[in-house]
Amino acid sequence: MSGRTFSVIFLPTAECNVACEYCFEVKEPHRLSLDTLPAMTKSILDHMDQEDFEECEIYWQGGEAMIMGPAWYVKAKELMEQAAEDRGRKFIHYLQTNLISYSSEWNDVIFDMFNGSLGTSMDFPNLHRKTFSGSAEKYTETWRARLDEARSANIQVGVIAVLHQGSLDVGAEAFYRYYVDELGIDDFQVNTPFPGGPANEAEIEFQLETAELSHFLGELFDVWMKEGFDDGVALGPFDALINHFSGKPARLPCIWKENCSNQFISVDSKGTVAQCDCWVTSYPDHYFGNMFSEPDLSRMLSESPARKEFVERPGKLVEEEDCLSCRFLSICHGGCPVRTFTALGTMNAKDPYCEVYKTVFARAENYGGELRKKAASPTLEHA
Amino acid sequence: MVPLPYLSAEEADPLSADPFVLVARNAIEFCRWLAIESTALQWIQVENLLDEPEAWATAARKGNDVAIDVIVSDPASQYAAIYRLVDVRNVRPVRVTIPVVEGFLKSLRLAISVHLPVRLLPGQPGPEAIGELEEALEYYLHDPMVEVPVEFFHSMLALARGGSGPELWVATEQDPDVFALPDWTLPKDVGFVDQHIARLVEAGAECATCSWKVVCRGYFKVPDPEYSCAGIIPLFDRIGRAGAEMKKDLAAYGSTNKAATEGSIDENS
Repeated sequence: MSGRTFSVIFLPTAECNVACEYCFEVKEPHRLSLDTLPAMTKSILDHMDQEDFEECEIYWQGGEAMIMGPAWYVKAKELMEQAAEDRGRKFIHYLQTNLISYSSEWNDVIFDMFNGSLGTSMDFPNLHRKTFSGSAEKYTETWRARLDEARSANIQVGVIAVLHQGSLDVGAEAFYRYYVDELGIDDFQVNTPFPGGPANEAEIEFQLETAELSHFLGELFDVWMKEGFDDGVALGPFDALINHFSGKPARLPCIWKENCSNQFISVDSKGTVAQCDCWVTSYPDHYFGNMFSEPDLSRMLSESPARKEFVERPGKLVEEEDCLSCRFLSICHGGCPVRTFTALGTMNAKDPYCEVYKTVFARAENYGGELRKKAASPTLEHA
Repeated sequence: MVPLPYLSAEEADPLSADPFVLVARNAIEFCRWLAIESTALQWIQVENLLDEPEAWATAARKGNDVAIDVIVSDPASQYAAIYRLVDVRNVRPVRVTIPVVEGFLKSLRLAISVHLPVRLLPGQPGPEAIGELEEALEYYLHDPMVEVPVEFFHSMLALARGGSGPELWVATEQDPDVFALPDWTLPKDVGFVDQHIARLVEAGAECATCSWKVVCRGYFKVPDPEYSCAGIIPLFDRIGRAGAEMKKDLAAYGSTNKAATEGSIDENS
């Protein structure tokens, strides 16, 4: 066994129970059947055999993943675990949910299947995540109540925050305090936004000016280092960068991998395979294939012209962009294909947030260097 | 000592008890040897295969865990193909070997950026390549983003800071007493390097008075003994200065640390 890990972002449904303004997913009323899950599981296990992947991380997302109900996941886990065991392989499950339909009925499956943790999302200020009635306030109120309930049940909750103009307007300090002080969150991550899918008015709020976004992230980094780092608050992707620059093992986010095509795929409830959830929900021209019509996943991935474009992207960028002369190439590799595609209509260009990333990398390098020096001379503090 | 032989796929015997390096020059040979378990096989030297993605897809999958040394034969144009080695690196040790020719810096930068150790083969570099060597050395010495060893810089720096390490012929794996190279065209006499430097000194070559003679041993005088080291000596001087600085810093750190430790003991007592 190679010890390598493969990841699948599994979308068991495209349905959703809320109406966020900026969502780019096409919300078809379709759910993955437990009758078809064995065939998909077999395809994944065959691919793991072929490529010698020991483990497969399954990231259950949606749509809204909790729409499937806890009983569905209990059966799905049983079925997938048995199939994996028979082949000497292992699935590790993660859950990403908006939490809106969470109740205590989920607790058993969350502890049994998802190791007692889940990921959710909330922006600050919340202007765009809305209920079907169109209320962001109601959404926030419901989400906070569910968050408190989940944490009362000792579930570890990580939060993803998508930045928008309102976040930049309130400033980094207030942004940080909302998550850490007001919500009591000690594990959250900031994502840069991108206008995926068909254009809509809310997307204007997410087209952030590069210098302003860089300034915000730089300040957020400073606030976190000053107030959260030593207290164990995890703030992604800064924490991974700090690990990297202070010489510790680091798992950088997918947007900065050498090539995301080598690491994971996304599969929807109809068996559609694409690079990630963003592609599978929004860009049919970039599908790799369908698991039901092409059960040999390894062959699909090796022969798909759409995937070839992803595989070749980093090489093209060093030939056609200025990435090769960038000193941060080793931790960026041209950034995220989907962010690039949605902004420029092609993935064969460097990420439009290039300058933002450089600001964050430089900040992380400075802080990481300080931590390295501190670690190298522990006794000086006593002297 | 018997030099380590470099054998072609036709010459190599997987059941051999004697260590050897396999030289793979086509995808079929390469993929076949990736599936063979041989205790004698030290590593596979892969030549002219960077442009064949299927070979690298195979190398990233099943098979033995033998190390591979990938020769980048045209580093000015093949650099982007180094990305194909990323998955291979996850399942077996991979090194890239880069000849120092004009444009080699592109391949060096990319190899370092995907965390692959590098062996530079300096040969007798021309002025353009020497300019890039200077840039490469600066990058290696001073950019914290460089996290992998770059030979021959690495061994020369280790020697310059008073540590142990191989001299240049061995660091570049070109000493014929240690490595029986397939493309070696000079006499295969035992003690070639000793004889070579002795001849150069006797002939009054610049090596006679060169302060780097002990570690270089006339490396840059092959094949043309008249090659001028005017561009090379400053590079070695720079490595020497960096090594001396490191040695000084390490000594200072050692004494500061010792004093600090003693200070903390005093506080505790």
